[in-house]
Formats: sequence, structure tokens, C-alpha cells
Amino acid sequence: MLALNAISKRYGDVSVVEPLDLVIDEGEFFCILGSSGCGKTTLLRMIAGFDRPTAGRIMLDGVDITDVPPNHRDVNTVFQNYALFPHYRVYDNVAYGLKVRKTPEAEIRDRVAAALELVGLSGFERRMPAQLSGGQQQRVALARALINRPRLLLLDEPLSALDRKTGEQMRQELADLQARSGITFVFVTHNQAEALSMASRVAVMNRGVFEQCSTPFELYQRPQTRFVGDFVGSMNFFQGVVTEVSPDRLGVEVLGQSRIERRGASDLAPGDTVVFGLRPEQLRVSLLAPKDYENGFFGQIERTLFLGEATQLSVRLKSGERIDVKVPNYLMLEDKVMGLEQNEDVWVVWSKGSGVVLHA
Amino acid sequence: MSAQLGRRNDLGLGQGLALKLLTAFCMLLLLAPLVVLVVYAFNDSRQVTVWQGFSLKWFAVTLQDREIWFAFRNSLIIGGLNAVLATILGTMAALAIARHRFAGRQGFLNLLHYPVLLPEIIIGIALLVLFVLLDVPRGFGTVVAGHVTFSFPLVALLVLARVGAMSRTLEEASLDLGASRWQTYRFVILPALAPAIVSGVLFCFTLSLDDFVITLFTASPDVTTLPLKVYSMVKFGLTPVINVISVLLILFTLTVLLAIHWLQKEGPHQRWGIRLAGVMVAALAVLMATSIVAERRQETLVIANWADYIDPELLREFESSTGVRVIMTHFSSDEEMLAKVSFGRPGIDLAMATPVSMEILRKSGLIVPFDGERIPNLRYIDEDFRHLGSDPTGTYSVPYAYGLNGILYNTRMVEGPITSWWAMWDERYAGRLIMLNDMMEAFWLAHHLLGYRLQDQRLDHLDEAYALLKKQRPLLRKYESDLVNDMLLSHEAVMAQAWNGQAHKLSSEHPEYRFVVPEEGASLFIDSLVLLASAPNPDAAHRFIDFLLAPERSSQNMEAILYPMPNATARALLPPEIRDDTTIFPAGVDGKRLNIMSDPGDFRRQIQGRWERLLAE
Amino acid sequence: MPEHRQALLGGRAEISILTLPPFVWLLVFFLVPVLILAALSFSPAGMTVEVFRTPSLEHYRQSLDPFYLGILLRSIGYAASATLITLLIAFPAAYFIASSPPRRQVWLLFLVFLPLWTNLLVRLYSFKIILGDNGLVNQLLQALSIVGEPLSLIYTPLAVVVGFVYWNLPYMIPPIYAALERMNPSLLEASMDLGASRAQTFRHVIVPASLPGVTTGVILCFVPTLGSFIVPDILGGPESMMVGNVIAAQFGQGLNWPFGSALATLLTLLVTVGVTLYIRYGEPGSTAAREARA
Repeated sequence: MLALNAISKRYGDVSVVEPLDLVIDEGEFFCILGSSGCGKTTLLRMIAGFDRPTAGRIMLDGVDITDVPPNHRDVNTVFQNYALFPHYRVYDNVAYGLKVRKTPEAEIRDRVAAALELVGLSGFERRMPAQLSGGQQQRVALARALINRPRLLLLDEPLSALDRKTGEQMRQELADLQARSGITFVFVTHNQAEALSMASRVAVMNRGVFEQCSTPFELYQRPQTRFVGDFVGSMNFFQGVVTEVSPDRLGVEVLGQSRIERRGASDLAPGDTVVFGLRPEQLRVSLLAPKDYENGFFGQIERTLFLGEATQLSVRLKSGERIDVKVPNYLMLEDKVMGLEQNEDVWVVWSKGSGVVLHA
Repeated sequence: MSAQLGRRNDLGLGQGLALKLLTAFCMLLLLAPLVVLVVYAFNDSRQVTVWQGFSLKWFAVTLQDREIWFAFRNSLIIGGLNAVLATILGTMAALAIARHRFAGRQGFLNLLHYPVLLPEIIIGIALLVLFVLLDVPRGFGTVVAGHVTFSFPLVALLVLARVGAMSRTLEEASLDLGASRWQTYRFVILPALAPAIVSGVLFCFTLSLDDFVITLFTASPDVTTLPLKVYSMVKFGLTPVINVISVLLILFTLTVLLAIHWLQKEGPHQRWGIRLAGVMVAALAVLMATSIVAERRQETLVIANWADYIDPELLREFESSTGVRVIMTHFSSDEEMLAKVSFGRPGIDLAMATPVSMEILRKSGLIVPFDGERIPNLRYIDEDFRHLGSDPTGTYSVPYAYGLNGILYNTRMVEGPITSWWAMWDERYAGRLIMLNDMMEAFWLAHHLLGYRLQDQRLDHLDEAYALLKKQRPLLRKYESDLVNDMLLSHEAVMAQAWNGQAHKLSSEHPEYRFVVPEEGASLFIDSLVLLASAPNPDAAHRFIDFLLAPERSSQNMEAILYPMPNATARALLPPEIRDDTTIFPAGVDGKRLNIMSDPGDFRRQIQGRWERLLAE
Repeated sequence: MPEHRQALLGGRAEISILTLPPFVWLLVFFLVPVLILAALSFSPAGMTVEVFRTPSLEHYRQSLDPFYLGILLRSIGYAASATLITLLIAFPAAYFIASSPPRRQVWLLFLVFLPLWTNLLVRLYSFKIILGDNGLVNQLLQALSIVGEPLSLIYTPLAVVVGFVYWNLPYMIPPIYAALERMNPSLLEASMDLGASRAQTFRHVIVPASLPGVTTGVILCFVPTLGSFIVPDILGGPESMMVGNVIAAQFGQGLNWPFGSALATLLTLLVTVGVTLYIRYGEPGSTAAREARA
């Protein structure tokens, strides 16, 4: 439905978006995830028509809209700070898109009522934007965009200005709203939790390029670059060398020991230098040496950090490196993980196959 | 997206062609007058509207004009004092409003808006009335008081915006770290406000430098500022000197702005640059203070006079021989002179009065008799002029010069010869006629043409005269006394009621202009010097008059101003081409047809009301 | 502001030190003189300045005479038309400047302020050169054979209005520019995004956003223009006399201070109403404060 063909954006000598391709299907909840300055907002603004791509084309339903001004694109945007017109009441804000298209008054009234009901703000018509809470303004912005029944709804960090609880609640509602309306959403955020919880597909963007574009599960489980592994969730990284490649096994030598793993980049060959990644929550500590279906490191507990829903242990390995382990709290005895003291020697253990092998 | 509108604008909003053209038009309107001013400053011609080739001569003329330098210096002093005082008061007011809660705070804040927005003329006349009532002599102090009054509220509003934006936590941090309130002001609040304060200082300085209206009402004649000087130049003639002044002003502002910009830029120059600037400003201040002190010590003589009505050479001679500085303040009508000398302590010694104004001044006790003993040269005054109706004893006035009005016209554009005043009602010249901006002259002429006498003070005659003038009104370009020659030269007018001396200046250089005394007769004026009761320096006034009446000086003076003086000895000394000039000394003028104006008394208000109507309609 | 903060901020002495000098100054050199002026307006006409003796209303009766009332109305008419024309010229320019790249904004604003570098009298005088019968406009029109005889431009109401517009432009553009520049640019994008054309966006978003600046600019132009006397004095003919000229004339050749005071008092009242409205509704600060309270 939406296709970006090699679009890029440069401001003078600075390249903000490198040439990139993307196809988004009807009904998708597509998310672009990246830290600030990665080019994600620029990409969104090019789709909306606010910024012109330096090169490349934007196709919507097979029609080239690269040169179509934003007011003639069947695309609407929910802005980061909502951009509600401060001098209009809620009603007039929501009605704006219909009013400027000269829709009959009666139809406007019905559709505004429906749109406000959709976002749960019936009865707020007469309020001014300044009299609404952040969450309410957010909903008005949504209603204002959705009332136009766009082919594509763009959302630019819509939850970042909300407090955490409201933000989490809005995630649910957004996902529901998207499912109910069937409109394709393109959502830009720097918050991985938002991306993972709502999106059908996520593109991780870094320095103007897509690092990886896949389902949230894939993204988490099978990151394809070190950046993705680190940015989505967190990961312990080690240097390694590939020792063996076969269809269902991957041998890597890490810290002088050979490990057998399964997941990793597909184009590895023996002798390649790689990065070996382990997620803290897929590790456990044990006083016993790993079984043969497991891999492990031996080290000493250096520090304990209570996180609330879990506890994080920093284990100093014999080789001097450190590895973080996240231990669920049901393993707590009083305030100690399994009764372990600081400086106690432990094994850090994981199932073979939970490690990730990536290009260095 | 906290970027401003202009920062990221791929939509090209507000950058359309129509908008570009409109903006270009607006900029043209803003800048064209400046460009014209600058370009014509380098014009060779005296005529400001005609380009005659590049020349720097007007710069030389301007820079050699002592009066302009004095005016500029006065403006700098007043601007400096205003900048300091207004900035201090304004900052105090801003801090009080921004940082404290007290009863009447909102009222105080609102009050600050009024001096900023009230028309300047109201503040000007209100202060004038105050100073007159309190009998405060006008001078530097009164002008500065006026300037501070309208500029410090502006500073307050300016600084207030800045204080509002300043975080409170700065002050709290300072107090938390053990600083006293005073130290907090000294080390935290004032430095944080420095940019606003600096721009406030500059702002006040510029306001002062630019102010005309309030200065007009609060200054005394010896405290002329640059705008006052420029105003009298604009009023009394068009000369490229004004263009030059504006070029110099622009350069001055540019220099100051660049210097400040340079000082604000970070860098090694900053330290010594600020010191250098400080030293220069201090040196300038000392220089001005000493020049003012020196000037205050110097004896001065202030004379209210018509423009170009005395030979400047004579003034210079008097100054160098006596050490008394002579200051001229100009007026353009008899009534304006009365206004200048009548109220409070205007600081004027001598005034040039007509019989009418002399009578008013004498009746109101505003003038005192001269001491004849101290003016031996009085003996040269023609006997006929010693005892005028308005001064029977001949002690209150010293006749200075006399003249007639008549019609001055361009022979190439008017079908001549002109012999009658009715030519001034000729519809063929509609829109290109000028009458003197003189109420009494206008109404006298109308009465005279209708066969009435103004002295009879009859309302029905007055109304007829008014009707006659009203009929003439649409034909007139303007009632104008000062720029008559300029307007005739530029062909803005073709025929004008004019005084003979003025007329001679034009006709002697441009023979196509002719002056006639119409057959119906004309008004004769006699100007006399009078001594004001409030004169600060009556002694110098006596010495000056005696100096002026010496026949050789009178003759020199006559040659300069081209009006006859009642001094037969002096007249004999004139070069023949002037002595025999029929414009200056019109021949065949029968004494019976000449009118000498007298004071209409309370009837004046009747005339005044109709005159204002004429002016406005 | 929370109560506990007040204690921190110095006591009565500090408030007095900060407030008294500016307040006393305003009292002595502004409030009292304006009141004296009002009192003087009830005195009989004459050449002496006496206040509170034989009060009379004669000057107010004279002020309301159709002739003077006409001048007052004409002044309002001039001020209103000059303000409107200024607004029409200033708005597009302010909008263009606000939407220009930052570097160009600096230059354009510099040009807007440039005229303030030199004296107003001198700038008005320049219009004499431009609009005179032999002036540049007429020279140009004649060179292009658009007119044969020079047009009478100077000393006409037209010249006065042109002078006012020129005088006011540097005061009208900055507030409108500031209001537009302050505007959140995503409002414009939102409007376009929702399907509004450029014209619709202009009407529904840009104009409302500019209103605080427009209000400020209009007041900053209208009020001084209403009381101006220099501009008609230098550029105007007798028929463009305004109330400021009449007042000045009463204090000058008219020799009737009490009548001048009466006119000045009427003008003061008129302007005070305007200023009060401005303080209540004009400033963006106070408007925002009122909205927050609502």
C-alpha cells in the first residue's frame, strides 16, 4: 500500500536519511524505532509531505505522491505535541479537516460526535485545548486525524509527552483503535516498549538506515546487528571467532572456550571474528557447573542491583570481563538471590542456542 | 518540533511570489527615504530636489556650524543622563514588580503603560504647565526630567520581560549558598539582567536623541537639542545640511552599535575593549561636563527673533568683543513669539516684537523699559519711529526694522503685471497661491479690501472678511511664512503674499520673480526689540542694542537682512544698488495706504476662532 | 506563587527601596502634571496660568463645537486609516520575515529597524524631497509621461497618511513578526495535513496566531498617531490639521492654554480608555493568564 523507493534526505552536507526502501501493507501497525536524531521523524515528515525527499519516490496505493502537497495526501498525522489549534474548541479542532473540505454541517456534527466517542471524549466538545490534560489532548489529536478516514495515519512520538501510566494505558487503546478502524498506522518512537507492545512490524533505524525490519518477536529473539541487540532490550557482548558452521549448529570460541550455538547471522564462515551476545534475562546463576545442554562462565558476584520486578547481578568473570544476569524475584531469599553473598563464586549458565552470534 | 517557523520550512509557507513582492514594497517604503537622504547629502545644489552633481561641500558647511555642534553635544548630554537615570528607575520598578507581592502592584504595573502610550504632546504640555506653576526655570534639568518620564517605564517593561524569563532558583541558590540579599543582587540578579539593562541604556539614549515634542515644551532656548535644531531648519528652509546631519546620525548609530556588538563577542579583546570603551565614555563625559561648566560661567544673551533676521557676522563680532555668547531662538509668527516669552521663566532676554505684541506684553507687565542712558546710540533712530502708538513714551521698545508686504510672483508663470490684491483670488492659479501664515495680516487685508477697518472690531465685518478669506482658501496651497521662497522656486507655488526683504532675496538671484505693492495698499510692519521682565541678563541686552545701533553696523545689518531700518545715518552708508532698490525701499508708496497693526484686545479671540477654522478647512 | 517563597524575598524595606523612587517619579512628573492640566482646563482663557479660580466649562463647550469635534473625528479617521494601511503593508512583510530562514530573518529585521537610526524629523523631511512638486515621484511620473503637470502630493492628507504609515511600520512589523515566530510550526503542518489549502491555513491558523501581535501593533500605531503633531505639521497642509496641532497651537500662537488643556484632557481620556483596554485585552501575557484562570 505504501511504498518508499530509495528515498533519502540531505540538508546540505548532512545526510539525515540514507536511500532506503520500505513497503507497508494494508492494515499494518508499523513502527519505526530509533533514538533521537536517527532520521525517523524526517522519514515520517516525508511521508506526510512536510519535507521533500532529496531523492527517491513515495508511492501510495500505486500512485506517486512525492510531489503532492500534504493537504492533498490521503495521509494524516498525530503530532508529537499534538499541535491542537489553541484558539479552537475541541469540536472545531476535530471538525477542522471536514470543515476545510466543505463537508455539510450536519455530517460534520455526526462525524465529530462519532470520532469523539471513539476516543472516549464525548461531552468535551466545548472545552479549549488548554483546559485538557495531556492524555485528553492526545485523544483529541487522534480524533482530529481519524475523522478524515485517512489511508494512512502517521503518529510522531505521540506518547512521549505523557506520564508513564497514561502512556501505557494509551498503548492499549491505540492498538485497539487500530484494530477496530483498520487504518494503517505508521508509528515513530524511541521507546522500545511501545514499539514491541503495539506494532505488527518494527523497523529499527540508526543513522538514517534501517538496521532491521521484522516482527517484534524476531527483533527481540533474533537481532541481526549488534545495534539492534543492544537497543532492543539489553545484551552482554563478547568477542568471538567462528569455529564451525553447519545448517543447525554454529561453533564459536568465546573467552578461550568453544561454544555451540544455533542463532546468528546467516552468512558466517569459520574464522570470522564475531560478536557473541547474551541477554541477561536468559541467563541464570548456579553453584553447579553447566550441564551438557548448557553453556556457562565461571566468575564471582561483584554487585547486586535490586530492580523491583527482578534483581540484576554483576558477575566478574575469571578473564576479567563482566556479565549481567537478571534473576526473577521468586528466586529471592529474604533480600539475597538464592542466599548468595557478595564475592561468592558462581556459574553463569544458559541453554545452548540462547546466545546470538553477530558480525563484529 | 520546537523549531521556529522559519527554521524548517520545506512547505515554503509564507515564501510565495506575491508575498515576496509585498515585502519588497514594504522595504522600499522603509528604505527609500533613507536612500534619498543619503544620496542628496552629496548633492552640489542648494536646491534639495534637484541633482546637480557630486559634492562634499555640505559636509564642510555642516561640520563648521557651531550651532549644530552645540545641539549635538546637548543631545548627547541629555541622552546620557536620561540613559543612566531611566535605566536605574526602570530596573528598580521591574524588580519590584517581578519579585515582590505588594499592595497596588498590579496598579503600579498598569500605571507604567500610560506614559509610554499617552501622546507625547500631552506629557510635554503637562510638564510645561508644572514647571511654569512651580516657577522652575527651564533648562537641562527640565528636559532630562521629561525624557526620563517617558523612557523609564519602557525600560521597566523591557527588563520585566527578562526578569520574568529568569529562573527564581538562581536567587534561591544564591541565598542558599549564604549570600545576603545585597550580594544576591550584586552577583546574581543584576549580571543575569545585564543584557536587558544594556539594551535599556541604548534604547533610552536613542529615544532621547530622537525626541522632539517633549523637548520642545521643556527646553529653554539655550538648551537646543539636535531634533529642535533640525526642526527649525526643516521649518525655516530646505537645505542639504539636514541630509548631512542624517548621514552623520546614521554613521554615529552604526559606530555605537558595532562597538557594542564587538564588545559582546567573546574573545581576548573583550577585557581591554571594555576598559577602552569605559575610558572613552568617561573622557567624553568629563569633556562635556567641563564644556557645560565653562558655558555656564560664560555670560549669555538670549534673543527671540525671526529666522534670518540679523547678520550673523555682527553676532560673532559682539561675542568676540564682549565675551557674551548670543543665542538665537526663532519663531515664525507674532503669536508664537508671545507664547515663547509669556509663560514662566523662559530664559529669554530680548524679543523682537511687533506693535501688536508689544502692546500685549506691556499691558501684561511682561516687558520693562530700557534704560536710555545706557544706550547712547539711540540717538540715531529716526524721530518718526520713536513714539509709536503702541509705545507712546518710546522707552519700552527700540525700533529695529520695518517693511511691507506685497505680492511676489513668478513672471514666467503668472500673467502680469500684477497690480491688485484681487490677483490672490484668481482661480487660474488655484492651488498655487500662498498667503502669509499670519492671522492679523490675513484679516486686516480682507477688511481693507472690503472697505472696512479692523480697528472697528465689528463682528459683522469680521464675518464678511472671514467669508472672503474662506472663498480664497481652496485656491491656496498653504498659509506659509517661512518657506515662501523655496516653494516659489520649486514651482509648488507661483504667487505669494510676502514681505519685501524676503522677496528681495529671491528676486535678486532670480530675476523672473517680481515683488509689487498692490494699489490697494499694504500692511507695514515695524519690528522693535523689547526687554523682558524675566530677562536673566538685562545688562548684556543693553550693551547689545547699543552695539547694534551704531550706524556702520546698522548699515551692515541692513545689507544682510535687506529690510529697511529707521536709521537715516546708516541708510546713507549703504551701497547705492541697495539704497535704490525698489523692492527694499518701494517707491511711490503713499503713507495713507499703509497700515500699522494694533492690538485687537479681546477681539483677538473672535479672530483666532475664525482663523483656526480657515487653517483647518 | 507558594506562600513560603515570599518570606525568602526580602522584606518591606526592600520593597520600599525598589518601588518608591520610580513611583514618586511618576507621581511628580506624570500624574500630578496631567491632573494640573485637567484643572487648568477649567480656568478662564488668558495669558496667566491660574488653577482653581472661577472654574468654568467654557473650554469644553468650545471643544464640542462642531468645528473642533470635526478635527477630533478627523484625527481619529487619520489614525484609523493610517493604522489600517500600516497593518495591511506590515502583515505580509512580517509573515514573510517570520517564515524566512533564520539568517535572512536577521537581515530583514535589521532593515526594518534601520529607519529608527536617524531622527524622525529628518525622515519626514525626506518625504518633502520625495513628494514635492519637483520631487522624485513627480519627476518619475513626468519622465514616464504618466502625468503632464506635477501632482500636488505634499501638504495634502495623502502625504500625512503616507508619513504616518512610514513612521509606524517599524513599530507594527516586530510585534506581528514576534507572534508569528513564536507560533508552533506544527500547527501549520497539522492544518495542511488535515487537508486545508494554503489560504485556509492562513485564515484559520496564521491569522489567529498573529492576533496578539496585531493587537499590540495596532495600539502602538493608533495611539501615537492620534496625538501626533509633527507629521501633519511637516507634511500636511492646513486641511490636515489634527487635534495635536490644535493643542500645540493653543500653547503656541493661540495663547490659550486653558483651551489647549481642555482638548488635551479630552485626548487623554480617549487614549486612557484605549490604553486600559490594551492592558486588559491586548498583551499576550495577560490574555494567556486570563485563559489559564478560566
